[in-house]
Amino acid sequence: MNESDFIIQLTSKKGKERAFAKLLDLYQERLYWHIRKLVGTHENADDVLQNTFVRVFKSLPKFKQQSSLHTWMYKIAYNESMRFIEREKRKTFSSLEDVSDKFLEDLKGDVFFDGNEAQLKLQEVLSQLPEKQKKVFDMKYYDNLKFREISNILNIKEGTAKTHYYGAVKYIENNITTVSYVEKIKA
Amino acid sequence: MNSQNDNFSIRNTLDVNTEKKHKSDLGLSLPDGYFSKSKQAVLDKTVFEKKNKVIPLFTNIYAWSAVAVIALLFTIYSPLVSANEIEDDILIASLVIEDSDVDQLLENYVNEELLTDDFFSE
Repeated sequence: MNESDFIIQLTSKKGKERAFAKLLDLYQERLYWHIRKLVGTHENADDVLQNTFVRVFKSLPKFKQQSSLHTWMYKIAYNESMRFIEREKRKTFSSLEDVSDKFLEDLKGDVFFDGNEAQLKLQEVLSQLPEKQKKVFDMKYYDNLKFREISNILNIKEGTAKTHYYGAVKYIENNITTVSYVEKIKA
Repeated sequence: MNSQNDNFSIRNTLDVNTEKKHKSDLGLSLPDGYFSKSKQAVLDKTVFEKKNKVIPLFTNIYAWSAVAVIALLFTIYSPLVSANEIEDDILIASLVIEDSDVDQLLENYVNEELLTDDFFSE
């Protein structure tokens, strides 16, 4: 089945339930991880993931297929995460430095973070990256998105996305001593 | 249809190591059976959500106001309703509306009904 047929099923009265369940099977996990890296804790990611799918469900009839379903859903997940972060920022803190500190603080306190010293160090280094660089790096390296898709989600040029990614790789390379990780991200 | 659409099924069989990568690199984990519970929760909020019919009171506020005014006028001016019943209605209405409005209502009632009746009975 191609994507257009699948979208027709998603919006039809008859096959909607089964098609949406399939959509969840296909996208739930990858969108969860995409969101989790943006919002930090499992609890927050769970909230945002639920909101993302509710929004996807409501917006499907308006989806004009100007991008792929894949990119469109990542974009909704990204926007929901940003909305969540903005709300949290207004509630507790304001500056960018604080955001990065709070992210790490929340992460360490999360019962679903069981990272060792090296993993925590990597999280620290990633959180030190400029905001756009971190997002592009996460989307490219961990979410396996293409530069074209990343540029669409973040509303930036493809070339800019590439610049951000290689800038992030360079920074990580200079600040992480775990050779295997550096080799992986450079591969 | 663009090329992304043609690759739809291929795209969706990729990334099998996503969870592994996040766990081993970043130390992130999640509760056992999370995705099946989450899937059910999403389905309950979307496709299985009971469609409760809500009367959109605020979107039809003018229509509802007009209905209320007509009902009130009918109650006050109905020839079938006795003066005592009208006074009872005014007393009941006074429980839910402002004192000044009750005064105004009473004044209108006295002016338009009782004085008019007196005038014609003379």
